[in-house]
Amino acid sequence: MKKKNGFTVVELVVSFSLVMVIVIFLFQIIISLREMYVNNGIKSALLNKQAIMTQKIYDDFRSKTITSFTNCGDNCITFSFDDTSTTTLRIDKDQNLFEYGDYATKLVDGSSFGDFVVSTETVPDVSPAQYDSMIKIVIPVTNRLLEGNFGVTAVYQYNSNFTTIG
Amino acid sequence: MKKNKSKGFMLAETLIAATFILGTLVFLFIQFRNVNQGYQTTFKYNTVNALYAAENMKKFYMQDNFISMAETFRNDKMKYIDLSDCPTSYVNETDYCRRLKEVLEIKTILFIDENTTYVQSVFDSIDDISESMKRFIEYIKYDDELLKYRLVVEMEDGTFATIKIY
Repeated sequence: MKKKNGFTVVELVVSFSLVMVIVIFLFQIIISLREMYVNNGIKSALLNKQAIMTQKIYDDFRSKTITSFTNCGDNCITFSFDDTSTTTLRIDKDQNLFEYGDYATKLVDGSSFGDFVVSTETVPDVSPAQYDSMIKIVIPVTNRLLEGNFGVTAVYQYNSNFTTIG
Repeated sequence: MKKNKSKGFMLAETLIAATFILGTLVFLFIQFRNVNQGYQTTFKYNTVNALYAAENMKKFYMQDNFISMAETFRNDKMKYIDLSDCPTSYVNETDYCRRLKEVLEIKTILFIDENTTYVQSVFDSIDDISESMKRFIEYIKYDDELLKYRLVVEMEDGTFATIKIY
């Protein structure tokens, strides 16, 4: 009588296919996890920098009154406040450096500054005792690995009847 | 004569084991994806720019018509006020409010009670609050204090923030 040892071709093919499907699934999970780990790490670092840069600017905006701001060169603004202090906001695109007063920080690797924009606006026909004007500062920051803007957007409201900013 | 009854045994074993492993992996992958989606969603909550935008709107409302707005909210037992269009019934300086909202890139602003369960109780009957806004309000951890309110802000880029106002 013929003795049957080993596996049939069909058994081998089916078993092998099933194992391959499982391995592909596992690889998908591992690759996703690794991407998540890298991206979320970079994202967290970018968001931390954004928080610190924005807070530095708003700390002055909250506690002081701006009396003037002047251009001090490329990507550079000097703010003068009612307590006679001045603070310079400077962006160094080559070094990826953000400077505000005594504070300086470098961007996360792979990030870069966009165009630094400062604009002012006055809305007409507002009651004399109310805010009617605003200064907007936009410093975009992008990263080559992630979508989105991780930069600073700061708005300062004031009453042009009491404060003339020039 | 010993009859070999092992025909098909290897395939059946592999099928059962593979089905079990595949099922577990699929379950794990779905759970992992849900957790990851939830984690990614929280990156959109209380972002730096959204928080400071909310603070700027709070600053505006406090010097505009906040006291009257809060009184109306309380006396009429309202669940929320939609301030997105800077309605004249709640805002004095409508033009400035709309311009400020535009400059800050805010899409929606809601004025609600500090205890967010009050506004959540009418979610089913409200169509003009987006689902994503409702999810964010459900996410907010509140202090159960009387006569305290919140601004909830949705930005044009889909991020959210909330700030106490009182």
